[in-house]
Amino acid sequence: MNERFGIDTLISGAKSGELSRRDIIKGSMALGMGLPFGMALANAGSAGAQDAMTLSFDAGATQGGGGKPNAEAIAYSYIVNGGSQFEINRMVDARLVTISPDLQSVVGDLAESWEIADTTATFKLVQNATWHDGTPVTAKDVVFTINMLTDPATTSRWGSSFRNVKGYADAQATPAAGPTSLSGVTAPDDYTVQIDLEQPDSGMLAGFYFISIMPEHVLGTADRATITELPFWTTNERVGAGPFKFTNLVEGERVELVAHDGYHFGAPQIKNLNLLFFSSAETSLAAFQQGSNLVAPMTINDVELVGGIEGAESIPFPAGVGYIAYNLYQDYLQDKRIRQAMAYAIDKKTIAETLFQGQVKAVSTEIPYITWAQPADANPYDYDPDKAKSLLEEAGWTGEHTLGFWYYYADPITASVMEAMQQYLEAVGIKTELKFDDGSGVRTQEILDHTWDMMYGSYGGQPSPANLTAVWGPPGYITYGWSNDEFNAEMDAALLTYDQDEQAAHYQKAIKILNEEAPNVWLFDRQNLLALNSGKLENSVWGPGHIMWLNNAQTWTVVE
Amino acid sequence: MGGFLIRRLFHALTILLGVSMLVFLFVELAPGDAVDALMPPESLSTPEAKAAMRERLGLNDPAPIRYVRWLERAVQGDMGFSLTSRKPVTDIIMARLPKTLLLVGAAMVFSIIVGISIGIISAIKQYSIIDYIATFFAFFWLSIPGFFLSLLVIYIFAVRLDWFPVFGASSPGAAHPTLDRLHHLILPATVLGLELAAALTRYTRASLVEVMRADYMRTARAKGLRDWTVIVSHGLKNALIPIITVIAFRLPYLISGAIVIETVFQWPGLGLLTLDAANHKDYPLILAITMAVTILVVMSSFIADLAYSLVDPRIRLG
Repeated sequence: MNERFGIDTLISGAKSGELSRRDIIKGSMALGMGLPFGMALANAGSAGAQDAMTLSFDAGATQGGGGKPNAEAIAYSYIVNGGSQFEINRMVDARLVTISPDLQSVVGDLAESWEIADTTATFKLVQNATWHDGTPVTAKDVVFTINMLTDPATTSRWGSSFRNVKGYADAQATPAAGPTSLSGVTAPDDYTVQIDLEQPDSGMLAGFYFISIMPEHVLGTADRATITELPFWTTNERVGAGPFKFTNLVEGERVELVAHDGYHFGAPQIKNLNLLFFSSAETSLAAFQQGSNLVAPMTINDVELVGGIEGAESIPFPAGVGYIAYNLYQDYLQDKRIRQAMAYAIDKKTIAETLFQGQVKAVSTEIPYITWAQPADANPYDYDPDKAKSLLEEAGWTGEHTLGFWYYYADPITASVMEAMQQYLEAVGIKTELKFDDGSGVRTQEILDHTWDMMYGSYGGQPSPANLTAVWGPPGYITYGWSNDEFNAEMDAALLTYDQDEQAAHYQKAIKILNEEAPNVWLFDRQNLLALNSGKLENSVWGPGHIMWLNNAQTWTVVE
Repeated sequence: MGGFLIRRLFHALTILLGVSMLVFLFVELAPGDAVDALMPPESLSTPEAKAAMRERLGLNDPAPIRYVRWLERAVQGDMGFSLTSRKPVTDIIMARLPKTLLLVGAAMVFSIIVGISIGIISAIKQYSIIDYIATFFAFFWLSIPGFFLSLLVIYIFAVRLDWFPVFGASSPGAAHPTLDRLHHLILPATVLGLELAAALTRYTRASLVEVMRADYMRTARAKGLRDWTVIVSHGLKNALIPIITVIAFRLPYLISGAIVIETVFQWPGLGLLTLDAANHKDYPLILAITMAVTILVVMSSFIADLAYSLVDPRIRLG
């Protein structure tokens, strides 16, 4: 490199790879730009392989949900918790059945077909599925997974999804000397799984939406009490049946995956995949702007920014319903007219159109996106401050209480929405004190002590009306202090029938009860946004973060 | 020297014990525990599942018993398992500590070289345009919040100019891992080191200006020594004593500053880990991180004492 050249030559030479790293650094030094610039250019010359891509996900920063696990917590989270580990599991693992990204239909994954009648469910498995180590996936693996999750020693939060399976109660009751197994889960042959239920359960498939099938030949002999401590979860010992193999967890940085060529839906087009989990939303989006990753979480405030990036677009997907929850252990919140008054007092349509910039819809019921379960005569609670005042007067509301109003989303839009709701409530005579949960545990403690008043939040998108039992059944009573026999009867009736018209009738009545009794005031059908560089990443599909929907990652392609 | 070392070791152990008790107490006083963080009330986990989890994690025992149990294991080098990731805490810390040390070390080297050099020039060229510019930038860097500065440099040098990576400490499949690591290090280390560099500029300037007025400096000049020799051999050596104190006692600030910088740059060190551990009420991890940081701080103070004796023979240890 004897000839003199300028900065343009240096940059183009570096990017085209014509100049060696040594020449680039020497040239940079000669041009007075110093070592850092030289190294930056040298790196630019070594662009990643064409078949590699990087995605980034929320580690709790962008949605403000403090306490979500990061990549390092994946093993434990798989068994116990929800959060960003789903992004990893969705790539590495396969499910029995799962749900479409729009939450509208059940789709097969390892199961190619299934039949549920009376108290028996039969699943036929695909015969070409293999684990990442080449071992065929069989019915034994499904049986093992259900037994592992329902074993009290495992303390999995997903175990109770199978409480209606024969043998579940026995497994929970007996202080077992060894691993437990459910009598109702059997494998008549290598590719058939039979599940016998205590009673008909039309919601049983929903239990599988969150669950990865695990390899019996690898984990079958593991001590279930310590199974989450195995290196299996965070090293290349991890064996799944999903589109990508787990090869490396770079502590605190990324999870590195490679394509599983034996994937039962076909070998993935992308050969190397890196998953990142950012703690800072700003950094995540900056990396997206730079082009370091092709997908990143974003908020409504970033729509304009993302729109200005070449090839980038904002992708909305269901994110659950924003609601105000109430602590009905408090005497002064037990009269439903007070809660209904709050529903009338808040102009949710205006908030949806202005603060949320039209990215959410005003709603008044649970799971509004599951249209067939919605009651036609649900009260929309349109903005009516006079109605709110009269309801408060009827209920004898004195205004002596200033209600603590918790929220936990850290984004500026939520802060504005909270202030707006506070003002709407104050206008009808309800004073509130906004309390942001910074993760210190104060809110959690108040909920455990039943001393809180109300809270703005949202459940993740519930994939099935059947899950309403989990929310508003006994666990809901413990948390919110609300219970309703009529609601429970409608839910039980819906779960006992496999006829969808009959289910719909019962679910509609149950949701109408919630709408009328207002244990929550439902406000917004939320959409989360994802910044996607669709100019470079093609054929990708996106859905809610906390459900193991089928992402068809084998069809994704990266365009250079 | 032997007596000095024994005394310092005793002090260090007392500090470590006191800090561990305080941290344990604070974690204990904070509302909720690891199970509440893992299974928040909105997750609608059953009380049975939560009770089983609490039993499994040993959280049902009284706090003093848990502390003593932790201490017994800790003195044997076993810091226990993280409550969230279920990995050995020592493994987690050892995976992260080198990266924080690298970041803090690089920031310190940068700040020492830049801060002291500019401080010397400022002192020698007192009230010159260079001095005014140096003073302006020193106050500027001291005033600007690290979080904002981080985002600013990311926007300029990573997003707009594309000279540096936005985040992380390495690129997957990098052909030259050492160069790649340095490439990732430059922005966060520079931002982290700028505040200390600014402080060192001011301290060096003030200290050197004062020393340059001392009688022995006049004597050295009177002996016919060249200005540069007088400044380096006589002035700087004496001016450095307070600077060493500043450097040594700024180390804890650098480490705490690293929490912000690591979060913004997604640098996978102890800072980022601390945030995660605190969010999850993961007390074994919080205790271990605190112990690691305390050891660093105690060591930095010890190094400062040693450095005193090297720079100034009048100071004797013992």
